[in-house]
Amino acid sequence: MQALLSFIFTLALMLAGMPLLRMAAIRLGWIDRPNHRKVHQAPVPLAGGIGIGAALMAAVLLQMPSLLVSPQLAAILSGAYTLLVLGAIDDRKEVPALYKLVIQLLCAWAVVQSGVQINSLYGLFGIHELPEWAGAALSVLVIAGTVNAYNLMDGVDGLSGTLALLTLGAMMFISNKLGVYEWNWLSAAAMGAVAGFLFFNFSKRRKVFMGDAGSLFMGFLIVSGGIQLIGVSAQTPDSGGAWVVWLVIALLFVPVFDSLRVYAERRRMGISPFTPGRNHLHHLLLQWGWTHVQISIFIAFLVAGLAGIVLLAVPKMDITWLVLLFVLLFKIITLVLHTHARLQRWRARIREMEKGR
Amino acid sequence: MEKPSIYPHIKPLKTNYFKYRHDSDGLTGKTCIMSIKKQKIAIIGTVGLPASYGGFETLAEHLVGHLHARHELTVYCSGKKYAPQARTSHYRGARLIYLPLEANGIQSIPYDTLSILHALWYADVLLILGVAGAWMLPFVRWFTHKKIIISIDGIEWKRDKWGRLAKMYLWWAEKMAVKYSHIDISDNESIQDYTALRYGSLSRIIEYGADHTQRLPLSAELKAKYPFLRKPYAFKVCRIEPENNLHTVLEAFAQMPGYPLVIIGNWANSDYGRRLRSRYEGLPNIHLLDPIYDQAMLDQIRGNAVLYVHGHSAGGTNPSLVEAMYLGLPIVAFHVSYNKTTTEGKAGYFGTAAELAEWVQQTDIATLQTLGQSMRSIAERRYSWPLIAAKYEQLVLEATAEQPKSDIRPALSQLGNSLAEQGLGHLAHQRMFFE
Repeated sequence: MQALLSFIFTLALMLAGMPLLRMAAIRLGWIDRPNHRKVHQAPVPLAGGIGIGAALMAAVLLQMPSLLVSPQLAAILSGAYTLLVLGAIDDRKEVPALYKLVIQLLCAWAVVQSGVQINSLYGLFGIHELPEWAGAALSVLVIAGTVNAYNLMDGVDGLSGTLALLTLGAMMFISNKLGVYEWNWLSAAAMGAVAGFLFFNFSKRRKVFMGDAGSLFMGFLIVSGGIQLIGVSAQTPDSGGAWVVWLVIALLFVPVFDSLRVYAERRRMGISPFTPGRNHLHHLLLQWGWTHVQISIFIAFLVAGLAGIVLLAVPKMDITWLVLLFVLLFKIITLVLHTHARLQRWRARIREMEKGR
Repeated sequence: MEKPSIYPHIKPLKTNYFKYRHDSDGLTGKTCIMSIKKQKIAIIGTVGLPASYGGFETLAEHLVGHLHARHELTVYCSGKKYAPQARTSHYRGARLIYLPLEANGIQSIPYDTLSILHALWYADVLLILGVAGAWMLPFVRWFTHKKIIISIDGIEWKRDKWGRLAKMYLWWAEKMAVKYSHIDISDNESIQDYTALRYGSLSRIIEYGADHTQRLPLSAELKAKYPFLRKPYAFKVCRIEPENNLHTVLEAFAQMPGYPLVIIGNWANSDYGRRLRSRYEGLPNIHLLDPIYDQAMLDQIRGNAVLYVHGHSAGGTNPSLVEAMYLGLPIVAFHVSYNKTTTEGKAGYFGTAAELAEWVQQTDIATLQTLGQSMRSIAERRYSWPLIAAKYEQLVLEATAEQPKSDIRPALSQLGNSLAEQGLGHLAHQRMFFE
């Protein structure tokens, strides 16, 4: 009930406040200008992330200030808001990648220090319990990696929002099952804010983007929350096994694995992995000829499909096989898309050749 | 010194084997003996014989005509296109095998695949026309010693008529074809450029022949049926597809009421065709005819045109263009590299309706006549079936030739007289490794 209230509250706040924030962003120059690697044509205000952060903060302070008493949630939220500020600055003027990375690692480290960390691989590649230090290091890596993956995913209209909405919905479901009411409430509140954002994100006349501020914030909130929920499920013996772990993996798999793929491709091509490029999944799908909305829906369905596979396969399948299945599926999709992209490039090249001579 | 033989002049011997002296390289005059064996050749990927469809079928027909005396040929035919009562076991000395599948469209994949599998039982050389079955080629290479010669056709994966998945398959199949064949054939220099660029390998160029076409006078019957043929007209025959730039051609001639244009094609088959027809049919100088299946009639209308308009933009050497050249028609062709290489850059070219109209209006009759003659001389030099068939046979022999064992003498010592001329005669007799 409280969760529903928080959802309505943040949604209403976004719908009411976003137009104002949008105007302010335009005034202050928080605007995304088109360039060669952006896919939009006209400048768009980057007010979405700040709006989401503000709405969520209002909800926490007004409806559930008791959340902040929990050291874990305090660490997670302060980390998330730090990244929100960092992203907002980055939206205004480029922050060097190294600074961003250091701050992300520090925020991740703070969360790990508060006790939110991965303690086990739950049988992935045959590994179970991890030593304390390894778990901490892995957690920092996973948090920073996922945050960046969410950041890079934010390339077409509605994608980050849709994915965040879906993932938060799944987290709401998990926390409800596990009886973690703080996260149940928090995910509902965040969902309201994201839903409100999506309304403007999809709008033609009053379009906003979430910007780095929004994607870093959402990514951090989601991955930290996921790790915390995994931890809780491990301590709850009657929670029915490791399905929470698997579900979180399924939810984060697409953005994370896609970033790893892009990273590997850039290594192979001998260019810096931090060079901005246009070969993320959504770029390939754009070349495939889909619209932004179609891409957002496809990726959302893909993520939901993986989550569905997990829920169906949990009792029967080894986790390693499941992850390999995901990788295989993803490889097939990217192989098809890559082939298509290469074909298109050759087509253009041949067009040129045909004109010659 | 003997020149290498040109195969059509070699009389088949009673035995399956005969020998000839082969000039291995023109420089040294060194000769080696290569044996030519009667090869079992499977021609795969056409609709079948007797040919009544496209370029590949006509090619198969002429290959059979020219090579059946020296080789054993088998041609795979589509049972869907030849009714059981129309089928024969042999055609001009070639064995025919019918498969109950369409040779074109999606069924071409199983059609070619089954043909390849069947040919593995007996053939020495698989001559595959088109890339639809090319996914099989790695397996053929890995598990058999069959020689594969494949004609990759004109960048089929680029054509608008295919859906996205078909394009992607053809794109990949072409790669398999080039990678896993012994020899791949392009029908146009510009296609060779493309395969060189994409695969880094040298494709052989063999075009099409055209000397089966003949120039016939217009019959009185035709003149009565189509009175507009009595006056000079420009002509075009093709499938009614956007790739063939009919919209451009029609737009140009619509601006020139004094220049009659006759186009034969399947206007009723597509929206594109119907739209064009309803838009331009009323113009007095434009005559849009439905397909004419009587080859003699078609040849008469085509052969007596004063100008042949060739709007094809799809890849490769187009048989219809080559045929028009052989008929000595003056040609104005769409400006793509394929058409330019086919006509050796000597025809007229257009990219837009305005360019076409300008070219037509500014070219006088005398220029048209010289143009027609130069087209004819190119076609006689390059596009005759004996030549095309000889080129194919050359590739068959090349693919099946056993490499002669290498000589124990170093290559340097075989330079012969030129060594002595350079005062290096001692190099001709070097101490061998066993001495």
